[in-house]
Amino acid sequence: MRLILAILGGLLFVAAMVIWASLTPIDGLPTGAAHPDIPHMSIGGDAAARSLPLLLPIYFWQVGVIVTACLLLLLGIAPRRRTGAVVIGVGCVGLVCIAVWTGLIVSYRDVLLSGETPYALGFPVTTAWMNYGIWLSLAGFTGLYVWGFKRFIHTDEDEAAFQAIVAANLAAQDEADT
Amino acid sequence: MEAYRQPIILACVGIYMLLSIGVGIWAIRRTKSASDFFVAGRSLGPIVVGMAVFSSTLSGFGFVGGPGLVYNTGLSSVWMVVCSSLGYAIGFFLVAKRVRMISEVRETISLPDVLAVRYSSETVRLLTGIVILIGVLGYLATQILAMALVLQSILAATEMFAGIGLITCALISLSVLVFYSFTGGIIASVYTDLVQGLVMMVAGVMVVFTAMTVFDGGLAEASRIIFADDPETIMPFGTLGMAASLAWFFMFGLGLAGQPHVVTKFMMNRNVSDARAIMPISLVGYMISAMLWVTIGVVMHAAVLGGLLNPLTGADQAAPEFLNLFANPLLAGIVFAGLFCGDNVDGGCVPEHRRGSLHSRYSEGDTWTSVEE
Repeated sequence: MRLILAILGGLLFVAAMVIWASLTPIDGLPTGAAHPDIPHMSIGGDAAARSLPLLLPIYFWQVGVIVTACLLLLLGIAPRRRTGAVVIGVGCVGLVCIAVWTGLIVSYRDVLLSGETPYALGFPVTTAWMNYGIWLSLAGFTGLYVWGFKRFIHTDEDEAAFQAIVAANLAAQDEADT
Repeated sequence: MEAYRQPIILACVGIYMLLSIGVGIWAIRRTKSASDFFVAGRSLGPIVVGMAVFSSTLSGFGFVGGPGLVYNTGLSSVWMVVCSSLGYAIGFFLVAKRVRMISEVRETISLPDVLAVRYSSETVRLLTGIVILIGVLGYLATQILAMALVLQSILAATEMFAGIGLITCALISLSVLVFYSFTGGIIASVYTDLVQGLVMMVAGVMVVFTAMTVFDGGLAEASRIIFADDPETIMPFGTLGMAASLAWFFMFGLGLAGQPHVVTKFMMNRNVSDARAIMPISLVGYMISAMLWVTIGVVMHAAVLGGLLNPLTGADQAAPEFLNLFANPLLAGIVFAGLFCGDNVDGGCVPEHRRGSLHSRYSEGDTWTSVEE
């Protein structure tokens, strides 16, 4: 029950950050505008004017989403198997995700302040953080699932109990048929 | 080979359409009960389910709409893609095992069934069905539009069908789709998903290499051209800005687990423990295939800005035009053909709606036990 309340708390925190971002006054084009010369294309306009004031609420918004996601993943594990090691495992992947997100925001702020960017793997560095970093850091949860499947998702004990239910179910059906 | 570009593309699509019809006919023979029709008798291996999960998640929208969104709004929409790792994680940690177990013990065949069993309520079943119906209508429409746009793009390049309309293309695509999914049920759907998944993975890799050759400086050159025009377009939040991008991340990252065409596939694996292999297969397949989303959009955006191409007549033309102009004819043909698998148009969504009417077709003599019993 406490985990559910923590998830609710996480969602309320995200909502609060959304409200903070919504109430922050910005200049420029909040959601872009049509490209002046080319149809079916848009532009973002003055990046610093529209994005710098929002960096902080947006940063904490995503941190809230990552923390809430970690809590949701823990909710998917049976309470008796939510050991300290499991919580640490999910927490470590969550921290890596937050670290990558921090790298993205810091490099984005640098671009906004300087107007220039270095490139990495075909994209501006801050975009590379998103294209490669966000994706791969979140994939850590998949690694955790594969590694922990027999340990805390579906143990041999769970499988035996499940097979017993299936067998009992089949026996009851056979009895009903005859 | 370039001289035969259109015939090659048409041949690939034609062969694929025939293959889909063949799969439908083959699947009829394998479909003997409602359970076979809706959840493939819970008999599929992890590779088939894994590929079906990711190809129905990415779908025709990823092939056509994704590059179109990047062309139109820069990298804003890529947040829909990079959140997939989280979406799969939540889906598998929270839902996959439980849905599979309920499915076997209570003979459930759809998401409304599962929820009706969980909450012992027919009202829940009805409400879930209504919500799914409302939710998927727009989504299905975009999938059909994607198929029709691609078919139109292929046929319009030929002399004979130069003036073909979008509605005609939608009807042709739908005819094949309805035939194989209605006759073959989910078995036909998942095996076409499997082929589509393989096509998407191969295409994802090959398209990236193709895209890197469009500009001498590769993707970095394309990024520089876009940056010079409007830096925000190639920044991580695109032209729509931070809030809109993260809203997509929130919606798809946390919401992927609830998509009916994905949840239905969680019921199809042979063993509960197959989920351990299905999850990484789905994720890796998705990641490889989705490279196409980003690279085509970025390259086409830069190609128009850099004067290599005239502006497109619509953002959704980005992928078809890229394939027509830059890709090897065989690669273009294979990718176009992959789009005609119908992906999640035929997948998990449709059984939710037709469960009632088709249940009667298979219920006599099979082992299906209704949840009410």
